[in-house]
Amino acid sequence: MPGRIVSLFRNLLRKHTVEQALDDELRSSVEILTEEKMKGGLSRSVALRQALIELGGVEQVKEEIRAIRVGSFLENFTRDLRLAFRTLAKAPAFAAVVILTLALGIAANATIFAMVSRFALHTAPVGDPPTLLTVHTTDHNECCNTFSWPLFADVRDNAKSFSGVAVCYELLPASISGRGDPQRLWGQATSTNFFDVAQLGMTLGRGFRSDEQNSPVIVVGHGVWKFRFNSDPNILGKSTAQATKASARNRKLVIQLSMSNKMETG
Amino acid sequence: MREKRTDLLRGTLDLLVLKALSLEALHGVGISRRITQMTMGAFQVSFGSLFPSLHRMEERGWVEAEWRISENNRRAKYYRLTSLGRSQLKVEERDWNHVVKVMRAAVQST
Repeated sequence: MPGRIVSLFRNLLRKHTVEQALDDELRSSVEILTEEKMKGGLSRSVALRQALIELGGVEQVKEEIRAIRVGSFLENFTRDLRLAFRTLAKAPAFAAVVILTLALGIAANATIFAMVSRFALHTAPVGDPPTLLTVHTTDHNECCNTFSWPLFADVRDNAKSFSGVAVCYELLPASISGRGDPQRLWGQATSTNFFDVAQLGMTLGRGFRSDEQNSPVIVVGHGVWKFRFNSDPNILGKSTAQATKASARNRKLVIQLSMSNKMETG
Repeated sequence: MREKRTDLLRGTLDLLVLKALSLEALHGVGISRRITQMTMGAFQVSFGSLFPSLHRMEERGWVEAEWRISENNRRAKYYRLTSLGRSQLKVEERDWNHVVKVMRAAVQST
């Protein structure tokens, strides 16, 4: 509709001219009506008043015409926007509360979405997510108590449905030192075959060897490697002081490997 | 002013305006007078509806406006049907005839 687009630009850019034309038109209409009534024998003032009554108020008619013009929406919208800013500027405390409320709302939503996106929308960073299962024991129908080591050993050795069974102690409080101040971290203790079963990819080095059970060896996660060790490519085999709550005393551990994935393994 | 006045049916104003302009170009007051004449005094269009309707039609390209000197030596804005307006008049007439036919059938049904 090229005609309407032309009208839109005319209405928005040449507002003054458009308004002037509208004014002229209504004024000439009033004159025509007045003359018509004067021909009927009325005095000019009475005729003019009746003409204005018949027209129904010049300003009202103008308002009605403005409302149907192309672009009246845009005009009203910018007017509303200006009014909104003026009102907010007049009440800064209210404005601050509104802005803060919006900011908090958006931040909360963004945080929740980031979590949902990470856990629900992205697949786990393991080799073949659908085939990786978690096995729990239950106690009086309550889920998720810990596996004892002998029970794990039995499952590992006798279960025929799995290509491999690994065990993982999920939250192990630990602190890591060496360079800079010691830092509190959460780690996990796993059986040596954990990385093979989960098929986690490594940026650098390898997972645990089967003869490294109970050895002072850790695999650090990508985040720790990046921020604690500045993504040091020569980290393999270096030693760091690591204290775990479980051992309750400081032991020298050797960083054998560095793994890459999105799981934070301290 | 006439006391007896029938409110215009919704949607008939455009048809009446187009029809009023189908013979010659007219200014706003002239269109109002022509409609009153065409409807034998039954309809009096208020200017509050007529002018918005004319401006809408102008934006749609159904009518064209032009300033001319009226018969009383006055400058007035005259509206003229465009070819688009003429085809629109045909469409509106056909639609109206359809409505009349349907409504008559509906009213006469038992």
